[in-house]
Amino acid sequence: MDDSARRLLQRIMRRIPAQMLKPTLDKWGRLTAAQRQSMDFTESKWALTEKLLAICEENEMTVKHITELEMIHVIENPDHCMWYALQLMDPEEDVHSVELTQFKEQFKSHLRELIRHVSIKIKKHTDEAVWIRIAWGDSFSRPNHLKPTYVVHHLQTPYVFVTSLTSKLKPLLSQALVLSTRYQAIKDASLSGRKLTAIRDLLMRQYQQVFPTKYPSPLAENDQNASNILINKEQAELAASRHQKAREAFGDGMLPQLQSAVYKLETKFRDHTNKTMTEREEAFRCVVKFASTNLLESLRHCASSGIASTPGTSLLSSIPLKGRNYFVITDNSPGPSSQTRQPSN
Amino acid sequence: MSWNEEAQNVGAPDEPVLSTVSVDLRWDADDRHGRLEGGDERQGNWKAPHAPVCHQELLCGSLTPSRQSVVESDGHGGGQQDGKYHIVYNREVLLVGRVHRDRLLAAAGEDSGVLSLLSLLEVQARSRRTQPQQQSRVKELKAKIEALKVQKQQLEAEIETHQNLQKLRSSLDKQCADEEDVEMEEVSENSQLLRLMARHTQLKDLLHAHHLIGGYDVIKTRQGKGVCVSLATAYEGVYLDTYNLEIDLKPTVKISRHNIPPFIPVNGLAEENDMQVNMRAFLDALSQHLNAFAGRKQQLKLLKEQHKSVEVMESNVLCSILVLMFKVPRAKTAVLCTLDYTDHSRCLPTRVHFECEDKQLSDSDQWKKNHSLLMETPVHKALTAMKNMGDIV
Repeated sequence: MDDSARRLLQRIMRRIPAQMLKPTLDKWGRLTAAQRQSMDFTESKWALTEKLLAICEENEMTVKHITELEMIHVIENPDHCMWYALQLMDPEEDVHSVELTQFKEQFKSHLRELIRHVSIKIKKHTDEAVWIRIAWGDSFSRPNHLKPTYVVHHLQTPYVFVTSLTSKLKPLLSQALVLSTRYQAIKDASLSGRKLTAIRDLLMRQYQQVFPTKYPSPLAENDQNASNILINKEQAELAASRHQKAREAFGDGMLPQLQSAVYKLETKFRDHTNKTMTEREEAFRCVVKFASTNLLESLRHCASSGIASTPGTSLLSSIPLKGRNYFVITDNSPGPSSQTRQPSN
Repeated sequence: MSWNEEAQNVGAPDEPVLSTVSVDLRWDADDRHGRLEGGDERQGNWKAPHAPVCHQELLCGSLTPSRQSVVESDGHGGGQQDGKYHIVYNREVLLVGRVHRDRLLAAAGEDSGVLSLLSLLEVQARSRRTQPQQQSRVKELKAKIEALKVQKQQLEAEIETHQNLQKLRSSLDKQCADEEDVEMEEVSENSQLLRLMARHTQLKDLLHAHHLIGGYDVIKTRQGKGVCVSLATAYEGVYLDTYNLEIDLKPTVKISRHNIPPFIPVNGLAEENDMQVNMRAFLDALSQHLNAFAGRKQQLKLLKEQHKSVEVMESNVLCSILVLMFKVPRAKTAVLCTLDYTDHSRCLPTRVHFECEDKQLSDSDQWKKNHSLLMETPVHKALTAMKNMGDIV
């Protein structure tokens, strides 16, 4: 087992939390029963790492096997790195007949054509997601396994999620993806976040959306029963309609956990009391960032508790509507027009 | 602390005290209800209350915690005595006896909030201040009679219109069934309006019936500028997911939001069926696609539940491809079965393909029958049949 494999294994062991160690190793399935028995999971991590290194030497494992372990860990816990969403555009005729084996072969062959030294591992998860791990090398060096890129894609959907990708390598990956999924172009979907499940649920509309309907849901009645019937709330109707509007704008139940939303303003400064700034011709550049542990939940609560008036501004409700959290706002036309949203690309 | 003192502490000088009403709460020992009647007090004129009170019967609505003051009597002993309640209110707190409140509610009509009750009481108090009590009662009753007469006339007119509407409606329904020409009755504005109303009710009933049979349902939103369509999906008599579409009608017809998963090509279908012109064709096509998808998904779910011995090697989110592994008894070989559902508007596969090491097996008559079975029946039912025939384990 060479040096890079050893370093990779040490790094992986540092990342995996102590309680997840046993199940992850079991899932990996590369240790014999006897070896598994010999690992004492009550020891310190450092001791366990040494033990595992010894076992891997014994089994003559290569980097390929170690990367399997890393992949298993990342698939189980995808929330430790930043994920960026990409959208595939302009599908070709046969986009719906792309099936897994075809996609795998095509992707591997296209990427290998573009860059000689690259290590690709593709795995299909139970929820129909295809996970790809790519370790990049270049014409002169072997693939660097310490900085891999992970790609998640659901076949038949136009969305791809990637982690850390340098700008040099992005066009290569984009080309390989476009060719193997039978689309014509790929663009940045302006959505990023730490939690893969959150951005995926937002784009694939997996959270509970509320639509106006003739038949009210039984949940409303439950709320009424809970409170004391002797207490007459003066503004009960108003509160209920605010709740309904907030739910229609953002959704019901558990919302995808976005952490931030960024608005980049490139509009002219508008304030009648401040003549000097208003007279400037060029746009006033400003970046507004909203951050929270659960941004959509807090925005919904703003609207339903009456802090923000409903119907809320379309700038905030476009986060779940358009499925993005990076907006560039520019003026529609020069002159006394109201600010409108014109997202870039 | 005496009551007078407490009364004076009420209402700091800068707080807007709108008016003072001293109310009579008659203690009715029989039904234990308090009745509230307006008194006649000016601001600052206090009387010591001495009535018992039944606290449970009082309904209190409170809003903001600040600036509320209530003066109550202490409840002593029983017996029928008149009690007087001093209330200094600035439109935020009211103690109301339940019976009187109901009367006021009836008078107030729909607006049954506490504030409206307060304003009604205020109006009553003011009006009683100006009129002597006995005469006003008679006048009140006379006015009430007039109002009731007017209401009766209105109701009679409504009943007549309704009856005319029913007649028109039944003739319209018959006309649709028999496809006869419309009988031109007197072409007055009234009859045209009635005709329009009858057609409107007919369309509403048609929409309701469509919703009941599991088709899509449409309601108006944004004051008529948009509609929201709910598409229900069902398979084998079981309702599955409902999908919603919000469509803007003005200024142009376009879809504003929906909760349809991205692998169903909503925009593609809208273009194909020219949603601007022929909304119904678009909705029908979309409904067909969604129902077919729900059907295929349900088949996969039932297959996994009912046939645990069959291994699902591959499937995808759209449920348009299914690869299964069968185990053949006695022969100890496995058969790989690929089902392609390339027509996304159908629940049945367009292509079935078997792969087996033993070439003779896949060419045998038995498996040719299985091939046609899988092409024509839903997959979970086909597998049950194949198991019964002993072809697979």
